[in-house]
Amino acid sequence: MSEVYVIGAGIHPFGRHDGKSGLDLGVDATKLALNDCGLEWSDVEAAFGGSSASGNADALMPRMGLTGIQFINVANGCATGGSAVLSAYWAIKAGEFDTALAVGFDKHPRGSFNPDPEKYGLPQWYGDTGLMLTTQFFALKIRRYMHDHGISARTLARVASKAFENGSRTPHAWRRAAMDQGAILASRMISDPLTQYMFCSPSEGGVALILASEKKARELGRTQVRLRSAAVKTRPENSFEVFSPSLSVERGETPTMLAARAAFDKAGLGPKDIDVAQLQDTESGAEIMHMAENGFCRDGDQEQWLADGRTALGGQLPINTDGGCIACGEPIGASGLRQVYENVLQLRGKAENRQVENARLAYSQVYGAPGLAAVAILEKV
Amino acid sequence: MRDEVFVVDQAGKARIVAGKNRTNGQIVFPYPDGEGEGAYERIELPQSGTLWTFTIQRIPPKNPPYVGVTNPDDYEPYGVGYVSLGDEIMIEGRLVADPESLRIGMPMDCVAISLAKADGGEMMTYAFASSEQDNNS
Repeated sequence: MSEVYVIGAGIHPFGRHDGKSGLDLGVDATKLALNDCGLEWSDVEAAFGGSSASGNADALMPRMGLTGIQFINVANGCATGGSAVLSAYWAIKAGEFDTALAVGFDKHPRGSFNPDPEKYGLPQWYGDTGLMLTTQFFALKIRRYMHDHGISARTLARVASKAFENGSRTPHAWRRAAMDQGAILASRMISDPLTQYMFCSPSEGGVALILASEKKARELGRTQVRLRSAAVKTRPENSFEVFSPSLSVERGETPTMLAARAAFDKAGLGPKDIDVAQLQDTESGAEIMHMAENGFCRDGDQEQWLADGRTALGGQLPINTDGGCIACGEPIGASGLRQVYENVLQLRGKAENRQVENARLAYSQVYGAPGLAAVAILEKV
Repeated sequence: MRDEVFVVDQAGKARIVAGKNRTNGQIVFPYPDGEGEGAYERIELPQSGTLWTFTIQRIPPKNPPYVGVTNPDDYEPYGVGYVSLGDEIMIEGRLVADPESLRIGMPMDCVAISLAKADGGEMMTYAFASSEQDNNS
């Protein structure tokens, strides 16, 4: 089995891009990733890609060149990007290929997502009666978490304020203006206790990563960033997931807990080893809960961690250094890949005024409907 | 899914219809249909329970899938929460209560409500009303 390296990374900035299709964003990102590592499209041996709202990712092929390579379309909800990375990782690790592309792009209509109950195996009345909103789920989950673990609304605002501060330093971010906690708390209430600026919004963007075997990475002299481990897990019994007409009163583990444990175990690492982390922050509450679910702190510690700035740039464990989903928005197919892209920059020392000093191990976790999580751990070699 | 989601008595009190697994006793909602249905016994959940978590839907949901009124001028924010009914299961539903009065742990009753649809019609659904007040404002 081969070690796996991330040798090329490209991003089309996130945001709104009138006049460009989702596919255009994916093509741009792919070209940038190829340029980054000095490969031609004809050098890519396999591809895995996903898009939620912009058609099949395989539509890249005629745009990039019909080289006949395998292109597998990945559709795995909000973890689509993470799943594309995992698939490329396995393909290289198994020794089947020396180079593989993981790509994701998307372009969503404005406003919240409007899912179809039938696609989730749910009765029509669930959508009819106004229960089928991701925003509601996030609010319901963090409300209970705040009650159980003593988290304040101020801490929700601190998370969002940190995101906008980091986004202001990030060329690929969408929302690049800093915002103070008071303005975030005073913004329009969407679903109590979460206000408008505590939420991320659907947006547009594209990300491409080129993964390579150790042999190929050495040949190209691009062995700076190694993919130590990757894992995708789905919801176990009794986890509290989006679009659940009922829940057991028993609270079990979450898909994020399972994916984190699997990725740490495979890498032979633990949460204390990590220098920088990108965690799914669909809204402020998600980042808070994911801090604990990934093992970085205990439930309830977040209140003090945020007050002390431990997850801000310059803190002990900077989280969402590019502003995360809150500042970048969420193009579903590209979002998990953005996290890995940011970690690649951090490990290469190319993150400029948001650089985490001496970052050696970088962690990313994406979570989404209908209850799955993907984790990747990168190492600076 | 089965069409029968809840039953209503003459006083307007409702009970959720759930399935109890004949093998392991697990209670599920909605009551499964199709091939899995035979594995479940039809049961009605307790009429009252406690609020486990809640939120207020302050902005109109998108239509589809929501069939209620979404015109911002006529839109009325509504509560949503999970209510534990018995010792095993919590049911998600709309809340009929003053948003400011909601708190985790408060007693709730399952009721039937009529939801005004954007097309002028109405649909019946279940909801949870505070047991602490008589008027379900």
